[in-house]
Amino acid sequence: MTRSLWKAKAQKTNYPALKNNITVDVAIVGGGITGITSAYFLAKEGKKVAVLESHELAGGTTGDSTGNLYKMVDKRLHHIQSKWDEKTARAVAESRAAAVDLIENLVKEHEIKCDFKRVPWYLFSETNKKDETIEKEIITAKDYGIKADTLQELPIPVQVSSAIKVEGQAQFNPAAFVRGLAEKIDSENCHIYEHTNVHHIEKGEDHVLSTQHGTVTAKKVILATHSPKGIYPVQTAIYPHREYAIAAKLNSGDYPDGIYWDTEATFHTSMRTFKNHTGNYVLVLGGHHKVGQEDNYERFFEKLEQHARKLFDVAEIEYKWSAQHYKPADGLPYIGESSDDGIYFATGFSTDGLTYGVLSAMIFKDLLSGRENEWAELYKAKRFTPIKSAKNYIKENINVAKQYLKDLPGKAEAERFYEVGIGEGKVVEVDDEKWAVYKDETGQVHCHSAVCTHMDCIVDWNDAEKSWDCPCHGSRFEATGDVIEGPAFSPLDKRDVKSRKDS
Amino acid sequence: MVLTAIILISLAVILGLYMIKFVLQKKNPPKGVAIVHGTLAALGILILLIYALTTSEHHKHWDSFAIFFTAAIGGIYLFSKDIRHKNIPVWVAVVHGAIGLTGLGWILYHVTG
Ligand SMILES: Cc1cc2nc3c(=O)[nH]c(=O)nc-3n(C[C@H](O)[C@H](O)[C@H](O)COP(=O)(O)OP(=O)(O)OC[C@H]3O[C@@H](n4cnc5c(N)ncnc54)[C@H](O)[C@@H]3O)c2cc1C
Repeated sequence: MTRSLWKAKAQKTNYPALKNNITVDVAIVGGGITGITSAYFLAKEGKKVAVLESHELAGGTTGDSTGNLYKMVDKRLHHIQSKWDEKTARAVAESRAAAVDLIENLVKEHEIKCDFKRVPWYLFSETNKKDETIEKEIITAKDYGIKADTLQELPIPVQVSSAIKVEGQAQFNPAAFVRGLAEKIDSENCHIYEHTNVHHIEKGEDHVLSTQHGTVTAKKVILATHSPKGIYPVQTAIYPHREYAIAAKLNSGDYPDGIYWDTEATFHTSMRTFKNHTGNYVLVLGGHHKVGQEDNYERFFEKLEQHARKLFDVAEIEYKWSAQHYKPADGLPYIGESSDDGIYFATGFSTDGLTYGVLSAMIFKDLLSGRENEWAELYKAKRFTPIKSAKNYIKENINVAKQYLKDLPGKAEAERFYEVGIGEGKVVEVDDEKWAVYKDETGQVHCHSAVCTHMDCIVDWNDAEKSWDCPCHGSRFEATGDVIEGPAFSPLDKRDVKSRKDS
Repeated sequence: MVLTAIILISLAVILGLYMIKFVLQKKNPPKGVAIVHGTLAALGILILLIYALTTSEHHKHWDSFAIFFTAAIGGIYLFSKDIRHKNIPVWVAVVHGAIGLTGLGWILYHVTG
C-alpha cells in the first residue's frame, strides 16, 4: 500500500460531515492548501464560509507533495521568460516569493507545527549535456535579482557537472501546515466538513451544492479541487501527470537540508530531506508520466528505490506514494472566475502548487471582496493565449483523441473474467461495452463501466495505487468505483457481475 | 477524387449505422467509433470541397457537399451533447443519419447515373 510521509506525520483531523442544508457567502470545495488558505482569508474578511472536503483535510495532492516552497518554477523561470516575457517571469517570481513569505508569517503568527524552515534550493546537472539549462537559469535568476551561487559539488552524494544554489527558499510538512491552519480559521465565520463529497452543483444566481446528507447554497463557489469539477474548457489546457515519491531512512550518512532538483529530463528526479523528532528521511521523487497511459506502474517506485540506493546507504524505504499534477498549456496556472458566474477555480499548478495554492488564496481574498489584485490579471482563469498555448494544446489534445480510440469494438485487455488475476484490474468487453473488472484479494469480482464519468474515455488500471485512472483528463476512481480525484463528479457506473463472461 | 470521397463517406455511414443502434437502445456509443466516424466523414467532405473548387467538370457535386455539410453540423451537435452527458434527442440522431444516407444515395446516383 502507498502512504505519504506527510499524512502519516501530521496531526489527525476530526471535522464532522455535513448533515443539513445551509446557506453561506462562499462555498469552498476541497480542503487542500488552496481551499484551506482561501477559507482562512475569507473568514477573516468576515465572509460566511463552508469548506466541503470529500476525504480529510490535506488528503489530496497537498498531502502527497514534496513540501518545497520556492519562488522559481518547475519548468524553470527562463522558460516563462521565453514563452511570455521578462515582465511576466519577474511577476511570477515576485508573486511566488510573496506567497512563500505569507506561509512563513502564518506559521509564525499561529505557531503552526509543520517543520517550516528556510533552506537552499539547488539545481544541478549530472552530465554536461544539461549545463546549458543551468547557465540559462543563472542568467534569468540574475535578471530578477535572485542571487544564484555556482557550485562544483553538492551537500548530497551526487556527482555534478554544474550546479547552482539559491538561498532562502523553504520546506515544510504541507499536511501539518494545512491541518494546523484549519484550526486557526475564525470558527464563527467558517465551518469545515470532512467526508462530505460534492456530487453535483446546480448553477444559478445562487449555486446549490449537493452532498450525500445536505446542500450548501452560496453565491460564490471556489472549486479548490486541483482540477475543477465538471466540464470546463480549461480541461483542454491542463495536462494530468503522475509522479512518484519514496522516503528512506539511512544506515549512515547525513541528511543535509535543501531542495535538490536534477535537470536530467527522462526521470526528472528531485530530492529533499526531512528531519524532526520522529525520524530523519531522504525523499526521492520522479518518474512523471501522463495519467493512465502506462503499464506496470510499480516499476516507477522500483526505479526510484534503485536511484536512492545508488546514492545513499538506505536502511529502509518507509513510505512510498504517488500523486498527480496538471501542467498548464501556456506555462502559467489558471486562477480566477470560470466561465460560470460566481464559480472560481485554481488549477494548472504543475508541481509548484503549494506556493501557487496560497497565491490563489491571496487572489481569491481580493476578488471575492471586490478588490483589485495585482496578480489576478496575470493568472486569469479565462485568459486566451493561443500562440503561447498552441504547441502543448495541439500535442495534448491529439493525445486525448488517441485515448478515445481505445473505445473501439473488440479492443479490450481481456476476453473473460477469469483472465483477471487476484488483486488485478482489467478492461473486459461485455455486450458491446467496456467494463472495468477488478478481482479483490478474496477473489470477489467488482464490475463497473470502464467509461469515465467525466468525458467518456476508457479508464486504465493502475497496479501501484489499485485505482482506475482516466488517461484523458486525469479522473481517478477506487477499484470499487468511487471518485478519488480529478474532474469527474460521479463514481464509475456499477455493472452486474452475473455475466456470461465469468464462464 | 470523388471516388475517394465516396469510399470515406461510405465507411463513415457504416460506422454511423453501428452507432445509431446504441442511440436507439439509449446506450452510450463507443467514443472511438464516434471519432473514427467523424474523421472519415470530415475527410470525405473536405475532399468533395477541394474537388468542387478545383474541377473543370460541369457537375461539381456542390449539391452532395451541401447535404453532407448539413449532416456534419448535426454530427457535431450530437457529439458535443454526448460528450457532456446531455441527453441526445433520438430524432436528431435519426435525422442526422437519414441526411447522411440521402447524401450517399444522391452522390452515388449522380456518379453512376
Ligand atoms: C509528486 C508531487 C510533488 C509536488 N511537490 C510540490 C512541492 O514540493 N512544492 C509545490 O509548491 N508544489 C508541489 N506539488 C504540487 C502541489 O502539491 C499541488 O499543486 C497542490 O497541493 C494543490 O493543492 P490544492 O489544494 O489545489 O489541491 P489538493 O491538495 O489536491 O486538494 C483538493 C481537495 O479537494 C478535494 N475534493 C476533490 N473533489 C471533491 C468533491 N467533489 N467534493 C469535496 N471535496 C473534493 C480532495 O479530496 C482534495 O483534498 C507537487 C505535486 C506532485 C504531484
